[in-house]
Amino acid sequence: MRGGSVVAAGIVIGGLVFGLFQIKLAVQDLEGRLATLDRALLKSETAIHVLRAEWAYLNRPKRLARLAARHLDLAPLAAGQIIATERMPASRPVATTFAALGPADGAPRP
Amino acid sequence: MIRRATPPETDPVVVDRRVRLDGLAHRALKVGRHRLMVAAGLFAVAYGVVGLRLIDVTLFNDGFEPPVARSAPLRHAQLARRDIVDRNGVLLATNLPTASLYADPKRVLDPADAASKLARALPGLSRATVLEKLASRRRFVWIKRNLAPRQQDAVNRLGLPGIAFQRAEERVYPQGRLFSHAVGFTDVDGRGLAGIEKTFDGALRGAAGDDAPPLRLTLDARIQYLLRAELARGMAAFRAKGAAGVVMDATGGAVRAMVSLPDFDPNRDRDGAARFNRVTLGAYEMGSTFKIFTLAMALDAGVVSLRDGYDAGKPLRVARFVIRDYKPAKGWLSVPEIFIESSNIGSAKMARDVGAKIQRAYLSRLGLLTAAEIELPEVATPLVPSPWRDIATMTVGYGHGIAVSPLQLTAAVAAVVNGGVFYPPTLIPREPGAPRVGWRAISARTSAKMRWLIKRVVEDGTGKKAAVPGYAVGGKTGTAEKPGRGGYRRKALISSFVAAFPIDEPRFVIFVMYDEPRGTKATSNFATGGWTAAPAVARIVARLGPLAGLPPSDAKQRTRVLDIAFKGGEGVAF
Repeated sequence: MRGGSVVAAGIVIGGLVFGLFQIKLAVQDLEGRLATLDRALLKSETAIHVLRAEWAYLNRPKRLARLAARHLDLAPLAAGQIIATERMPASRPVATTFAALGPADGAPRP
Repeated sequence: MIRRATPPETDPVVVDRRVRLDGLAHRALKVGRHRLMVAAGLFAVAYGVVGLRLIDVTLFNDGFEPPVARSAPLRHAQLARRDIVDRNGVLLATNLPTASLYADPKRVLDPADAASKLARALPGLSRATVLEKLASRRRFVWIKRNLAPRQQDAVNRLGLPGIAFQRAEERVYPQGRLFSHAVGFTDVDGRGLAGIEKTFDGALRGAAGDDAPPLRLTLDARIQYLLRAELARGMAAFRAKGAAGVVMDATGGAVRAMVSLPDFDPNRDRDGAARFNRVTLGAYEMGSTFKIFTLAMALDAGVVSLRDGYDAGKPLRVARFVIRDYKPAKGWLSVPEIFIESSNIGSAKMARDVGAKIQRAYLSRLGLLTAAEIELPEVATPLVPSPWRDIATMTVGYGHGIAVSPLQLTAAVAAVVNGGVFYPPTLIPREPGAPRVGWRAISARTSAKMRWLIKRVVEDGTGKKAAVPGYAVGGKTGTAEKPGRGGYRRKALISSFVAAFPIDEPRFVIFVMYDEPRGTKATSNFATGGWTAAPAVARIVARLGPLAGLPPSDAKQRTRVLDIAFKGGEGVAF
């Protein structure tokens, strides 16, 4: 029995040592990955920061006005173009039956 | 310990093998045994304690060690200075990481070669100065601060020993000239030197980084832009020396735009006369816009009513001064006419009837006698008459003999039209839920009368050119001759216009001023406020109204307005 328990204890200790090493190595590995991710995150954050500044620079009102004048047929909104929803022209009556839709051939009604 | 041998069980013959000792030897043995027992007991107790402690520490640990191991917290991009944003989150000032180039001259092998290579790689760097630095006996010299990434790459390619980079930060103003005076700028080491950057230097420097909230201002980049564009256009058209403009919330004192021209690019040239902020640091005799306050105080104090009037037919002689009108009236003018036609004589007489004491009390409540409480270091102290004689009371009545900043005037006009409460102008938004800090300057009834009167000025007075189709604007012109040697200079004018809109329920107060404008053919060579500043105000209102989603006033019955959506920073206002 003595010899048996010594062997059993040896196996248990050996197992524990092996397990402990495995965990330690895995943790080291994970910490390395974490550090890599942290660095990447920091780099991205800095890049985002720089890009935000660039975004603000490219969206200067003066530049937007110049671009809009060059590429768009749009002018600043005038007071006369703002109207209340009640003053909108009434929309055409909505067809409620199939008959009202006309022939089913898909030809658009005048 | 002495072991007593036990007789083997298998042996049937009992043999007593025990040794018996008597006498001296027996006692000595006994003492030795006791000592061994005591020593062994002590050891057992000691090991027992260690063992128990081991169990305690490993199994029942008491919180000295966290049950779950955590890695060091994530470091955020740490920047030395917080951002500044406008009310909608548009970036006005930010820190960008850069690299600064330095050298350790002792480790530079060939200074002449290194200097010419560096001068070639970095345009704008003179070979001579670099050589002088590299040949010096110091161990550290800056070659160039804040390199662009491409320049850094170019220098790296040279592979010069003794030359290295240090991570640095540069303050960048993406909006360029747009906010030059309001936001201000910092020096190369990131210390605020002007504007908001100086006022909030400490707050901006503490706790920076991407997780630190930016400093938010009340300014609005869109309004700022359209105000600046209009002022720049007018300044060029009238060949003016300068221009100033303010857009302020009628209630609450929030400044939405503040432009002083000429301005400067805070990213580049920051020196010279352009640094002067005409809006807050300039004190000007405003002229007729002051008649707003004279009339408001006269009505509020019950000195005159709208049915009263004054004889404005003859120039008014007081001591050695003569007060004249720009367009002399036929004779008697009613109080509204004095205001609408902007009569100096009538206003002077009205101010005389109000009296110096009441005048000063009202002007003080309108914030016109002390420096404005804006969050900028560049603030003018108003120039007020001292002593405040009768003649001063009369000239102040039409805006002469007292010089205030455009910001003060705008805030005071806001108080007159918004129902009578003065709010100190501010660039920092209120905390949500915080009360507005203001005080009553005139009664709500007087304010209503004043709104009607300044509306009349635009409808059929000196401010007709400020009229905008679709929006009801009220305003007052102001044209003052600039003081020069031995009196006023007839050709050097401060021409201004102050307006509130929509006038029936003011949202914004707008002030536009040109410094020494010259008339053009289009203005029939007039350079007065009504001809120069009033049209600018009209154009600003025409842009600002739709921008702010204000319903056109010729359709007051409409209850709902089409929503105008803006894309932009988080939390778009209006």
